[in-house]
Amino acid sequence: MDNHNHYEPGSAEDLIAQAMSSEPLATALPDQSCAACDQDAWMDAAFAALPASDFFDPVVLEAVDRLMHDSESVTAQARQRLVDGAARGVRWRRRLDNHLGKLLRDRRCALRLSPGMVAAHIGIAATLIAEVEAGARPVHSMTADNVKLAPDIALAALEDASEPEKSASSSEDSPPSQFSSAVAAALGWSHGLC
Amino acid sequence: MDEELIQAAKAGHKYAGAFLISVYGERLLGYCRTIAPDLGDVDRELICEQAAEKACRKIDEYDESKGTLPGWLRGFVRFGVLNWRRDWAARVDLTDEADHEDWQPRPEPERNRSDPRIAELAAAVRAMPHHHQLLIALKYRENLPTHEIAARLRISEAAVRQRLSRLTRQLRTQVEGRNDADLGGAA
Repeated sequence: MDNHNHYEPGSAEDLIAQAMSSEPLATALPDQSCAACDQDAWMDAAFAALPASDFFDPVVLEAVDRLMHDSESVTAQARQRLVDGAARGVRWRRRLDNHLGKLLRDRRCALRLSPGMVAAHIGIAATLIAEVEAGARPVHSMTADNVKLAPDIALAALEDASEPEKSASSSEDSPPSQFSSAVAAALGWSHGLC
Repeated sequence: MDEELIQAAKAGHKYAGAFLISVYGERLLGYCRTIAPDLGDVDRELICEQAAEKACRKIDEYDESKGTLPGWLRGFVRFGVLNWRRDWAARVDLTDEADHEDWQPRPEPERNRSDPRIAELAAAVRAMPHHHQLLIALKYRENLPTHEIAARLRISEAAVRQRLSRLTRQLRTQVEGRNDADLGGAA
């Protein structure tokens, strides 16, 4: 296809210009209504099943973002609702981290292990363990592997939660990083949105 | 800025929620209106509120190698809309029944990611020229109606329909071999 636009070749702008200019005079043929593509449930489900990057090149995703520039004025009330929702999500994460830190500390104390012994066992700094237990650092600053290596703990629950079939399913889930959901599920937290 | 926002949310900073909404709140609501113009403002706000909450809960699952942050956030809105419609349909069904039991929202449908056709579909899409991928992404990933795609690309709706029809048929043929089987029936 000829590319007469003045954008840098291969850029998102170039791509959008190509999409705008290609076959500009095309018209729908009588037997080519889009009923099929409007109703194709399998296609919809298939495209939701994998991350966008599995289907589309990065430049395409960038072009999509540029085209999806919808915005609408938000009333103060609506804005507050959204902020409240986001704040609830952030609080949920904070509570999760605090809860796990305490579980780690309780379990370590029950086993009469020092932070240094645990640190040596799982291969991270003792200060990090102390900070996590105190709630000064989020648990996810330890990798999931580190956490699983720590003496049983809440972390038996973590291992339990790491079983894929027990994880919450969502097309936005990425298998290596379902940390919060998995831990929450393991702790038996009710989280209606997930 | 996205990186700063992500780190704030991951660390559980109190300002992270307001930060997220100040950057993306209007876009989330605008997107929700685009894909669900039939819903009322209150419903759309509820969907976006829940999307924001869910996104903050799952922020450590965001992987920039798999897509952009705005794209990832739009996914929560899309699923919110789908859930809203599913719940609404369930309520309508229940009104036809004489004795409706306590209503419960339907669970999210299972997605069979191991379906080999999905991988074939992904490969077929990736093999397409970028401007064709763009059309497919707007239609099937962003769930935009054809008139919205036409408006954004400033081409006729008929042209969008024709191209999508051709591209979809091409994808079906590649996924199902040369049989052009009805994927919808096989799903």
